[in-house]
Amino acid sequence: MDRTAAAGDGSPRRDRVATWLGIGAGLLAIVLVVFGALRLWSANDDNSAADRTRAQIHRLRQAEVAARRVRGRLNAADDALAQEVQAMANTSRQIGDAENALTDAFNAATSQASNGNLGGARAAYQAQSGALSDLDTKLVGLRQHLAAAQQRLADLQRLEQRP
Amino acid sequence: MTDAWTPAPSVPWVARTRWPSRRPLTGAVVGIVALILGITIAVLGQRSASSASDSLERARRQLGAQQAATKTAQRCADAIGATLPPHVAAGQALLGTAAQLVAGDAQLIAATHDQQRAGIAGNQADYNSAVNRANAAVTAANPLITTSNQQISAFQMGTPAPPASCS
Repeated sequence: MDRTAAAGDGSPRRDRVATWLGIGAGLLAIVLVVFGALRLWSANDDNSAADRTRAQIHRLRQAEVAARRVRGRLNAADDALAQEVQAMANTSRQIGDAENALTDAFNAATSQASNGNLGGARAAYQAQSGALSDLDTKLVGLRQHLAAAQQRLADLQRLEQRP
Repeated sequence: MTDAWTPAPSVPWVARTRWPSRRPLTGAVVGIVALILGITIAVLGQRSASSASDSLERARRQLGAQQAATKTAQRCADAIGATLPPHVAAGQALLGTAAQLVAGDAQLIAATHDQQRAGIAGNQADYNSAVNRANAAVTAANPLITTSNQQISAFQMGTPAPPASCS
């Protein structure tokens, strides 16, 4: 009698309710666990796919960087060649101008010699030594620009063959 | 008859049948605990799936953008590369002419030095000879200058330029 009183829930109806409650909760728990497991599986698949996608993005980014580098190298090589060509054109123009000035000076000296002023003519020719020396320097510069331009062109050809 | 069977004490029927009545309660408690566990797993799974799905979606969007950016960069590099062969050929022609011009300039300057020396020496024949060499060098250089100017223009016009979309 005492034990029955200690349990305190003696009604069979409550027992049935507790039993069905347990069964229902258990079944629902199973459904939820299966649902959760499936979602975790799906998350795992999605994470793997995201990892693969990120790896592909990384490869594509590297390819983009490589393409930009090729473009940058081509532009740099071409700019360098264009600069040397421009420098050559400028130096060549300066040589032409200096030659013309020298020709004028020599013609003037020749006129002096033709007029019998040999001393003045000699002095006039000598006076052009500085201009001639400057012309020599310009020629050296022109050769250097030509060599540099040839080197830049070779660089460009190398890039053309294998960027 | 002292060995006669002693009747067992009478136990109330109710007490015997009610003793295992904790089982339904335990079952219900276990079920509820399992339910809580199930809810936890379901919530975690759902959150994880949702987060992974978002992450995948983001990565796919980035992939699309990166594919477009890579394709553009490669197309631009290819476009520049395609303009290179004629540009390099123009450069070769230009430098060939430039080399002839430099050689002509060297002859002209050498003749100018000779002019000066002959002039200082008062040697008219040498002077005239040097003038002739200088004139010959100038005559040879003039068409080269015209050619080189055209080649410089062609070279500058053919500078590899990416399409407008590559800026």
